[in-house]
Amino acid sequence: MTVQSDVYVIILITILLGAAMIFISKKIDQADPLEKPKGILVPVLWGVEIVYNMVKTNVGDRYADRLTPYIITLWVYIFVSNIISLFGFSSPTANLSVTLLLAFITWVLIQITELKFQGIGGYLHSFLEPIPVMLPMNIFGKFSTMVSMSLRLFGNILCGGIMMQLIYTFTQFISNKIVGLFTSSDIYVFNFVAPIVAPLLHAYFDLFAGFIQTLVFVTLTVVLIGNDIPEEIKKA
Amino acid sequence: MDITRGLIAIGAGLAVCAGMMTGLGEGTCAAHACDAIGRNPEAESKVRSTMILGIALSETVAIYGLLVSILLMFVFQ
Repeated sequence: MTVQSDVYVIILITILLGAAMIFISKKIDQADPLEKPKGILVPVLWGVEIVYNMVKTNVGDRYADRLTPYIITLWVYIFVSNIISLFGFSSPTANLSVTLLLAFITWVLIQITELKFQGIGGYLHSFLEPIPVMLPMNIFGKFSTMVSMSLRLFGNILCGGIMMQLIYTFTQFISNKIVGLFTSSDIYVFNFVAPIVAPLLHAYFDLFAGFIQTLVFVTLTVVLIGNDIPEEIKKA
Repeated sequence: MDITRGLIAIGAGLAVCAGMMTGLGEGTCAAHACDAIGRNPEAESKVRSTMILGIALSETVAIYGLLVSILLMFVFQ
């Protein structure tokens, strides 16, 4: 039996994030609520407040408290997974199993919200709208959320990795050619063109694309869950 | 090495062409969101989440093209 190398990276990320969470929650317990926050707590509180306000505008006050922990977990986990390729590991989100699982959790949450607010009868009847002939389309439509969300994250991160591999292969070729001009022999040289070209592309493909894809995944989760909650409950 | 691998490469290249019109559509979507925020700056957060929803839905086509291309490259070798 072979174990994919992604599994080790996933375990590593889980341990790192778990340690960080335990450390920060200990800091929060020790902090005095009457004083100004300091140290690591400042960015943490700032981030939690931004996410909380974003969730609150979409799902309303009543369900924001319950949904925010999941959304913050998604933020931290997907973002760290996306930028871990900067440190030479393979990104866990470039593995379809991971993104499919994340999208599956979101999909289950959406279905639970629909069941809760429409009732079982209303949920089953939504398959027959607007006309009963649309039944197969509606069944596919329910599952397409999960498939498209997982494939979007997977495709973007995987393609970032493939592009960087292509860039490194190309810069290796260029380095060999440049050295070959002077020595006129086929030798394998150090890839000295890559340090000039690669950093900007790493910043784009790993940091920027990773951040944007995290934002898209999280916003889609919040918006799709918020769409199923009736307006009068959001206002209450 | 026969002609099949070359044909697979051409097919993979053609599959990514699904992203051509998607780029145009996403650009239009973002431009109109900018217009909307300029006209009504208070609604920025609502416009932003709607824009991301629209962009993400139209991006699905490009992602499927990409997936077909990746499948062609790595599965049918």
